[in-house]
Amino acid sequence: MDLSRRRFLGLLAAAPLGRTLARAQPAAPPSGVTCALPESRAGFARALAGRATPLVMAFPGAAGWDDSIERHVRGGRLVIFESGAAFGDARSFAEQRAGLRSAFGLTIEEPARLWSGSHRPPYLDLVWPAPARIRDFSFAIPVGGGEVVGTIGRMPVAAVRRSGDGVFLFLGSPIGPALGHADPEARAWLASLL
Amino acid sequence: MKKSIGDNMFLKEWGFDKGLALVKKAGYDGIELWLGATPWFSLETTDAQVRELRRKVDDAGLVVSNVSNSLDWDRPLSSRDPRVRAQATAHITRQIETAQILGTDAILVVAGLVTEETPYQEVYPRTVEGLQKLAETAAKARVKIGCENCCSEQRFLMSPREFKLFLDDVGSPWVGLHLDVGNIHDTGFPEQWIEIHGPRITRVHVKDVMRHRGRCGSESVYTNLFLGDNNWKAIREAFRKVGYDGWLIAEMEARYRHAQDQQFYDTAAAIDRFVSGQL
Repeated sequence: MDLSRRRFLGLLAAAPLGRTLARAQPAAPPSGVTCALPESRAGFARALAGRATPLVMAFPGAAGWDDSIERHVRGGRLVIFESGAAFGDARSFAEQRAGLRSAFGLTIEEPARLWSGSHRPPYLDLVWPAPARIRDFSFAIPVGGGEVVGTIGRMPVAAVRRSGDGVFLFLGSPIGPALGHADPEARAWLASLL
Repeated sequence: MKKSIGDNMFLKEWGFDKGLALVKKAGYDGIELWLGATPWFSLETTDAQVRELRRKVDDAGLVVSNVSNSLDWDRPLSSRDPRVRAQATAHITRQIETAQILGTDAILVVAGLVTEETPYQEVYPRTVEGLQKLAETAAKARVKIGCENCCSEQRFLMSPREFKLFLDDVGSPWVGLHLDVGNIHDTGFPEQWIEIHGPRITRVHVKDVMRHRGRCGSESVYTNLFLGDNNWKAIREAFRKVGYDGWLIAEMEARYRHAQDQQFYDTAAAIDRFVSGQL
């Protein structure tokens, strides 16, 4: 992919320290996005506590969409968009699908139920910025477009898009719960991203 | 000690009234009501209808020993889906409410369900968190939540020490152990669970278990009292040691194929022998 880890770290190097990710988010966060997985939000908050990340916005377990996200990315932020659409309602899924397509040219499909039928290796394999295996979370949102950085089996579920000076990272398989449950690999992966 | 048996053992054609009459005639002191397992007691049952159930129990000369539920398996407190967890919280809250109406101070829950999909490391903290919230409701209602040890079926909290640490983490006097002496199978000994948990035991389910017939599933390992491998003398002595003098509730998962009412009499007689110590 064309975004190197070196470039990415350089992008974040100017970030002032001393604020948690949650506090780094704008005073008026995008109102069109809600969290369908409070556990994921808690996991991100726990994993990022004390880290300086004002150039990073995270949307744990996100349901819905907000058009301002594109502006934040263009303005130089890293937006980690962890979709919780599988746990939201049909309307919020439709909004998210339309927003992702419009803003970043990403296409998402209906949530895939991972545990129906045949057994499968229950892992999300991430390859960027560092390789990591993190347990799946029952449902995954297949994604098309962008640069695939994560798969479950052969299904692409994580992708990156650059826009302006920023980066948009879509996660179709929630990792927040694993962060909250202190999965060392999940935390190491997030640290590598920061 | 007092004897009880579950209303989920009533045959459909008996209905609640005839079932209660049989329980009384067989010599039990109380009845365990199962929320979600019978037509007469579901989440749709109104407060007025619950009061009517209580009136029938009273009229039969019985009391309600506890309220159990059959819903936790499909709607576990440990589900990954927050919507399912909300359903679990709702039905357990309803259990607490109905326990108050029915005049008992204990409910049974199956707290936490480890599956291939939902791993242990997720189930544990979710279940602790869920129970901590429910404990507040239980405390206000003065109803104890007894978490049943369904060890093998739950694949969770397999040892008595592990269960103790779990209850320590929940950290509420309103959350304890509903001990099933038949559920321990070949992973331990009920008398040791009794010693470790003592005053935290809210209620006791009794049935026997045959360790040599495998574990669970379609091939039942459960059997009538005194037919299986439980060491009933040791169990009785352990109860004496910790001072448990509460309810013994028959949960006969292996049912008679014929003369089903006879199982009520036989089980009551076996519990009497157990209580009397003539073993």
